[in-house]
Amino acid sequence: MQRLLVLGLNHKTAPLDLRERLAFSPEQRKAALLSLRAQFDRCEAVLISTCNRVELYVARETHGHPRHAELAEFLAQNRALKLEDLQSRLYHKTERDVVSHLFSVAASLDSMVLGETQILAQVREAYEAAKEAGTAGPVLHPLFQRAVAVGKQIRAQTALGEGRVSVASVAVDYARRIFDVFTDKTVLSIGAGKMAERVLAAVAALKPGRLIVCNRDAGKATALAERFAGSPAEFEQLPDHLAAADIVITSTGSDKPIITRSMFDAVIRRRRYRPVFLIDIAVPRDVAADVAKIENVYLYNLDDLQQAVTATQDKRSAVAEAAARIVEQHVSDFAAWNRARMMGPLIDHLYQRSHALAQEELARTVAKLSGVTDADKQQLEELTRRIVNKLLHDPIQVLRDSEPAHAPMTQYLHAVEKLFKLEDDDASKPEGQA
Amino acid sequence: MSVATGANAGQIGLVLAAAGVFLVGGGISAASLWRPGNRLRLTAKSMAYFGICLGLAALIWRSVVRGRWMPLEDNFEAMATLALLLAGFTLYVQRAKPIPGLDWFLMPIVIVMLLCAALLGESAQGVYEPAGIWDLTHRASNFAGMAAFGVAAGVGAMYLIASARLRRKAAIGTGPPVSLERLENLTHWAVSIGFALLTVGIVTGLARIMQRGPHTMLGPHWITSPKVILAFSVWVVYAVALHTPITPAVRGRKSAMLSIVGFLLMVATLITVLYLPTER
Repeated sequence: MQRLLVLGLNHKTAPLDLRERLAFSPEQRKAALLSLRAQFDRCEAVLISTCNRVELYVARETHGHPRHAELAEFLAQNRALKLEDLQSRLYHKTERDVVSHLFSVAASLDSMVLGETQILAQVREAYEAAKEAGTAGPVLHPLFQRAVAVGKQIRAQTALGEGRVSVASVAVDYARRIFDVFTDKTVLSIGAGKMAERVLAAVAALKPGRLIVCNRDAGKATALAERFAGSPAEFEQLPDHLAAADIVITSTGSDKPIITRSMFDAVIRRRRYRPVFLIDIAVPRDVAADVAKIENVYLYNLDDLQQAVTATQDKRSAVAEAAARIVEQHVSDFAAWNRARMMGPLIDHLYQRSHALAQEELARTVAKLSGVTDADKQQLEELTRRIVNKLLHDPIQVLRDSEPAHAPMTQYLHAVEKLFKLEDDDASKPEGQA
Repeated sequence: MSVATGANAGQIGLVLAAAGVFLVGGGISAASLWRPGNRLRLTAKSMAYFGICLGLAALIWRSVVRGRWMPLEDNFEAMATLALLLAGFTLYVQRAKPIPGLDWFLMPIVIVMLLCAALLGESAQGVYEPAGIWDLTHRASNFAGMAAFGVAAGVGAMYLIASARLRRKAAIGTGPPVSLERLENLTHWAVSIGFALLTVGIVTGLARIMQRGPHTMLGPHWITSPKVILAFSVWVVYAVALHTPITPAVRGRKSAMLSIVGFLLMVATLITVLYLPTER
């Protein structure tokens, strides 16, 4: 009988520093899985490692190994960490809670950014890695396959993954509503702050034809321009750069607008009224508000972009409940399927064994009696069959109806195995575990 | 002078059915907004093709009954043909340069034209004189040009809405992005084609007037007739719209508005041609 466990930490329980130290590269993950299998040869394991979580999913014999403490020790040793640093940050779950947790993770309900889309691919990748290492078996195969299906369903049937959740990605979305092709466009970044850098990174991913970084500090401009294969420019020639730019990201520390209406009126004429997208993420603002009134100028400030982010977050929170209901339904379905899968062969074997014992005893008794006709023998066989069935009926019914709230289902099954001495016989084990 | 045979009930029924199919297809296309998926999109597209087939069937049936294959011989045919051209143009654009939602702007025009063909096509039974290849060129280029202008007007309307949404910082939808740049390019492309066809239509029309002098239905004062004035106005509007690359002050929203104004003038010209006593 197999028992499911998970041990791990995530963004809610551990700081970034610890998560970084515990993270596994693909090669390290494979080595870790093989190492775990070498220590505990009868267990199955899948290791999920992302920037926000490290989780080790294990299936093992009900009273077998590894236990949670052994898994914690394994992780600490493998990543050369102190166990005491790790222990307080780890969470562990068993049985149905493991299923529920994994399905929530795959559905992105447990992510730092609710509804983010990367986690599903990361779960699939972890499963593929375990398959490749040969550490996923008959318990974890269906579990992870179902988890990936649940994640896909949530993405297809709910709006959990819709919208953008960062200022930079919202800015890119708006840029794509204004421009179709970026290879002939010029991007100008005024200022070289962290926020500008993030937005510039997102916009640079659109592969614009030209990228200019303009800053009062020429050194900073050069450094940032080099990072994005752009060119630095002098701040004094700002109007010239503005006339050339189609997308302008501005985030200077100036306490007055550096782009005014009168300045931009001249700029837009020089641009021959070509549309321009101004992303003003400076506080206080770098672009005077009335610049937005100029034809073909699309001006967005930090508040405008932040509003779009907030709207997405609100929308996702609103649909998270519906997504959680879908996940819960799948957890119940999977638990029922898994219970039937494990229980069926065990019950069959219990009946077979009991009937065989009864028939054995009957044969012994019949051999001692004289004058037993075939008709009598048939009657006696029927009698023993009915007695066995009646004796087993109630315990089996209780087993079928066993509430997971009282004890994990595997504990009931394990008790039956022990009580009726079924555990030594391979036939009692679910398909594939023999 | 040919004699109008009139559309029979079956042909009118087919045109009405085509309008109905376009309407249902439009509804399905709009429904795909709420339930994105290939199935709905494919169904909407299939309905549009089916609608075109029904319309074509009506026109072919009419030609068979009349015994002549020369198209555009009366108002029923003119409007049905124009509607089908516009629908075909829309499908072509969606295939070549897909713009989600373009059909919501253009299919209503197609439906209205088909309804006009079915319900009003016989109310003013205009019969065109089949006077050879130049007449046919005149009509065909004007009608094809109008279909192109219909596309330009629809895309122009989309541009105005998209631009207004961006200016008031409306939330971004979940569908694939349609950029202002793409809409502007498509408007320019459709106007270019329409303008070329309209120019051919005007030149062939003028050639016919010059050839026949004051004996055309426009009379000796043809130059001040509503048809000529409207047609010339349309030409001027689109000529201005076409010059946006070299006259940048009219690019963007102004160019989009011009394409809509031009189309409305073109519709007025069509009404003049179809329902006022004038040279066709």
